[in-house]
Amino acid sequence: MSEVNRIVIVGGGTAGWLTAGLLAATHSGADNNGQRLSVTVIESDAVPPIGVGEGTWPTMRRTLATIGISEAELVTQASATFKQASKFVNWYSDNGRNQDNSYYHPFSAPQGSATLDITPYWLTTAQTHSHYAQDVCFQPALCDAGLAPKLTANGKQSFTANYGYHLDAGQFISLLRRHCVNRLGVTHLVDKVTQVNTQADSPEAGIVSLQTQQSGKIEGDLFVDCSGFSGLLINKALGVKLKDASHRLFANSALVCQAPFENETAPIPCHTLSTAQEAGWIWDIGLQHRRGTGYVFSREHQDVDRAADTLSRYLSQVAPSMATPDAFREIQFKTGYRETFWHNNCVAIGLSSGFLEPLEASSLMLIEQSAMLLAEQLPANTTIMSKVSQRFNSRLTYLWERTIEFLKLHYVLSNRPEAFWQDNKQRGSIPERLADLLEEWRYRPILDSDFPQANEAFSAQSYRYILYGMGPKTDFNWDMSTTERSLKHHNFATKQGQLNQTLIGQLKERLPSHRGLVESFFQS
Amino acid sequence: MTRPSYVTLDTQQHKDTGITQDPGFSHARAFNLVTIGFNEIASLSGCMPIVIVNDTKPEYTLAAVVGMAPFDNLFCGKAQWLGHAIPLSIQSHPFNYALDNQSLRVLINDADERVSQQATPSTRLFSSDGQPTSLLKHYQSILSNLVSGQQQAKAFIEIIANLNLLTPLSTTLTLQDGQEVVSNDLLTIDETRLAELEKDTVMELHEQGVLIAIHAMMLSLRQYNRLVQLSQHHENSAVKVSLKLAKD
Repeated sequence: MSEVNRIVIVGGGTAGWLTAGLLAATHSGADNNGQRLSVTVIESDAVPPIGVGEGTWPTMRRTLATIGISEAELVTQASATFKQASKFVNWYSDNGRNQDNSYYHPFSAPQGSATLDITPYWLTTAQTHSHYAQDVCFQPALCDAGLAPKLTANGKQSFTANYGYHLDAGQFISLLRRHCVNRLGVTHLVDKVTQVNTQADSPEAGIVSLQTQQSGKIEGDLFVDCSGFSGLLINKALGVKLKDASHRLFANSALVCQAPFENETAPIPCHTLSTAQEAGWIWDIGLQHRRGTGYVFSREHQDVDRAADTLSRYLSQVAPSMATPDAFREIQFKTGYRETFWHNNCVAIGLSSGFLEPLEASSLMLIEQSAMLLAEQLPANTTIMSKVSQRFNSRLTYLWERTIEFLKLHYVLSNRPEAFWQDNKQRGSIPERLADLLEEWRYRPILDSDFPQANEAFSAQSYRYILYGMGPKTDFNWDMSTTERSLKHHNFATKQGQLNQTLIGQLKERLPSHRGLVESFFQS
Repeated sequence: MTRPSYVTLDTQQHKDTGITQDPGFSHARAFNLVTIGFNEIASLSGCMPIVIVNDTKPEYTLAAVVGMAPFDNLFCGKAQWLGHAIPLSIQSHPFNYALDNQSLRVLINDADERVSQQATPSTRLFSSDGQPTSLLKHYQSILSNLVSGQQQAKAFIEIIANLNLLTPLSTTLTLQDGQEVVSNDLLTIDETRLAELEKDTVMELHEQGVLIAIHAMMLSLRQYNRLVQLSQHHENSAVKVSLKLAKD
């Protein structure tokens, strides 16, 4: 048995530094013998970070608070802006009627949800033209009006809508690195790992040390693989395979473009805009001085030149100067996740653990969840490590499977006619659990108890926003007649609808624009 | 004090304009009576007397008494407002409004000392995208409450005047040196005539939300004692106040 005192993280992208920060901040003290946890990040200057993870969930606020980075630092040093929702445009077709084909997935819960979920009442009264999110939650109206989620930079005492961030991945990494090194005592080695030394005769011991180009041999008790797609430790050294999920989610490439705002004082959208296209969808997020855009598509359904035309067409509407394929960078990827995330004394976090398309910004969330769980469950010694790793693996597998199901939900519901979209509705491509739930949801509302784990990746409410945001516009029909037997709080539900409208009116009178809130963080 | 110079607030013209805060509302130091809206009666009546001023005939105005000769505004402390409620028209300074066909036009007194042309993030009125900041929205909301409250006040006064419910109020303030200061230009509710109203009329006033305002006005006269109390910080403070309700 040996104690776990030395953590070595390979890779200095978002995953590496978030993990380092969470580990170092969580275990910042010393034990009875004065022993401290040492955290080392080995970062190669030859491998640039992928840097597409630019949208976060509200969970990032707690993550950053744990690490000790303030919101003001994030806004002033990582070009961060606020994200209140995802808006899905053209994910369904209205057969050429050309209406506003969009719906929202806001971060705030419906009005009254602390007391009662009013969704069943909405379902029994909804018309085809009703918009679920707008009817039950104030947040889509704030997004439409370009308003911020709170009054001021220090809005702790006053109203705050739930929000996450949009951020510049490169600047975010620099901020995390500075913070980890200067304030959390993380050791930073800029070096290249040339060899991974494993203990062949004792498999449970796993990795013993890493050979580096300049710093010699680096020993550790636990190794975290944040090396990105290459999976230097988990895959190349330990041979853990990727479980393919490309039969569920078809996108396998992204054309990425960073486009400056045409005008530096342009309004900043306070939501991720996701616009469906022939063979995928385009993300569009507003940072302080530029937008981050990209087209996630399936090369099986559209060749890259035509995909570039699709992205150009989109950009010509919002950022004409960038509407040229020369400005695009292609990232090809394989959708899937590791068969085990924690193998022996090696944990994979970030792109080395798997990849999912950026729909619903799940990549940073999965990094946060993994790193948080690792920091929380960090084993004291090698004897109990296998127990912890089993729990970690089953938890992470659960999260990845649930995330894939939730992403798939967006595609399954669409009624778009193109091959990419129709293929997505093929029964064989839909995870069984999701297919079963969808069948049940034709006859009853989505229940919190459909998602029984304490720490679900996506709550029942997220499912409601997608299913009821899109279902009524497509061919997902429901029959709630038996549900009506159990509905006893119509007055409460009606009142919540009215309160929602009142709240929207009040908030519009008080909240600054999104750019206005961002500017309030900068002292002149 | 510089002469006010109200101009229409404009996104372009005022893009670098900022407003500093003055928690003591010192601009109102010389005020005795402040015009208020009907929607302010509830919050103000527990803090200061609410009366009707009749020196503006033919139109009466609803007003809060914030000070009395020789003290002026007794709520203006050195660094803070000495009450839990502040009339909207004092809060709205240095803004004002004009009504163009029922739509509100915000005016700003560019000459006011709280107005600066070098705004900081915490004082600015517009963000760089030309949208109002939460600070300006705060003032806009005060102004819109002010407008609706004053329109309602007009209707309220008309109702109580038509019912002949107003009676002159005379106040006599006795100062420490024995001097008495009498004020005669105010009106208040005539309790006797209120008691004599027909049941149906009372019900109607109740349903209109007017009855509670009438009662609040009556009870607010107790706040004259607060004014006496607030005068303790002043030289030759008041020792007592007596109120007399006279028939016309």
